[in-house]
Amino acid sequence: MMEAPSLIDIKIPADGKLTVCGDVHGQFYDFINIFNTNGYPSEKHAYLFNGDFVDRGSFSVEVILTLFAYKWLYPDHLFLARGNHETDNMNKVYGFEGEVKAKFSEMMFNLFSETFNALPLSHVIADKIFVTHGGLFSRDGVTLDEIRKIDRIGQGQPGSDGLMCELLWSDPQPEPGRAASKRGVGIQFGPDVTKNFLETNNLDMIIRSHEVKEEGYVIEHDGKCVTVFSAPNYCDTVGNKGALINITPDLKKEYVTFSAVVSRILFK
Amino acid sequence: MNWEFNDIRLAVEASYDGPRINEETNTIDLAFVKALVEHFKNQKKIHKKYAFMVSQVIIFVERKLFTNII
Repeated sequence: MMEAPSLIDIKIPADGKLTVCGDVHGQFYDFINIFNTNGYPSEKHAYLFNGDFVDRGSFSVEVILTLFAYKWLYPDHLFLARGNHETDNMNKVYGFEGEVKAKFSEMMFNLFSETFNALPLSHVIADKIFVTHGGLFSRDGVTLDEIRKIDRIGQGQPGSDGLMCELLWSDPQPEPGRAASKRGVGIQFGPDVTKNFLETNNLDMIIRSHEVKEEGYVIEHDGKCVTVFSAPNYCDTVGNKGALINITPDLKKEYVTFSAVVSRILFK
Repeated sequence: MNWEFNDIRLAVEASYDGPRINEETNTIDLAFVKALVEHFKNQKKIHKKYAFMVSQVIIFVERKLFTNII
């Protein structure tokens, strides 16, 4: 029995597709709307949720338990990546810890925290598409093998520097090179940094999440860096669309956008 | 960890009206997941015991490089 690496390789189901979703943030009714409109997970329809399942929205418990149940049912066809909100510090401030204590108990929160520590940090689809929640690194030359070997379990929380932190926190920028992040954690990386990482690892592109976008997704860095965000009308105020990416075995990508569902408001 | 053991021994009350995990086999099926989604849509809670069970399975699945283990 081997310890799973911190980067997981995914194949797209031969006669099906893989859907990549970004941040969900506890918006359970919008999350279920993804399945209602784009199809429920199955052995022919794999899903990758790229982190930030919890916090902000009021139904983080329902989102995470539904995802866990599907992961149990289809371990090879539903994938979960850790986001910067699958961490103790964020859960304390942005709602998940309080929600779990109100709906279950502190013990249950501690167990969720442990499950978050076990989640992989990145995925590679069909050897060509690198998927992680935040982005790239403060140095060039990082290999997929280095990411595989990150001791995520030993480290537990991502901390404030290093590969694990940068994977979860970094953002792309249009300017070449690197800059300090406005968030105060992680870095900003330019198109040249993306190109260098892709060439080092023989990859085609990066898909990341982590930032709300008006249309739910944005394609940057000469088409090599895509942001996908799946929480429409984020925090009930932003008015953005959500998006997802359907990828077929020939690596064709279909970008689907969607608006917030009404029932969520009725249920508040 | 003792708390796992303690909580996993919790009994599920007869009055619980949500989906149930088969505790003979410790497995779930698609019907369970679909019922879970409907239960959540109706703003009902899953039993604490099952929330514990699901989460513990996920720690195991995510840490070990093999699947279909339970």
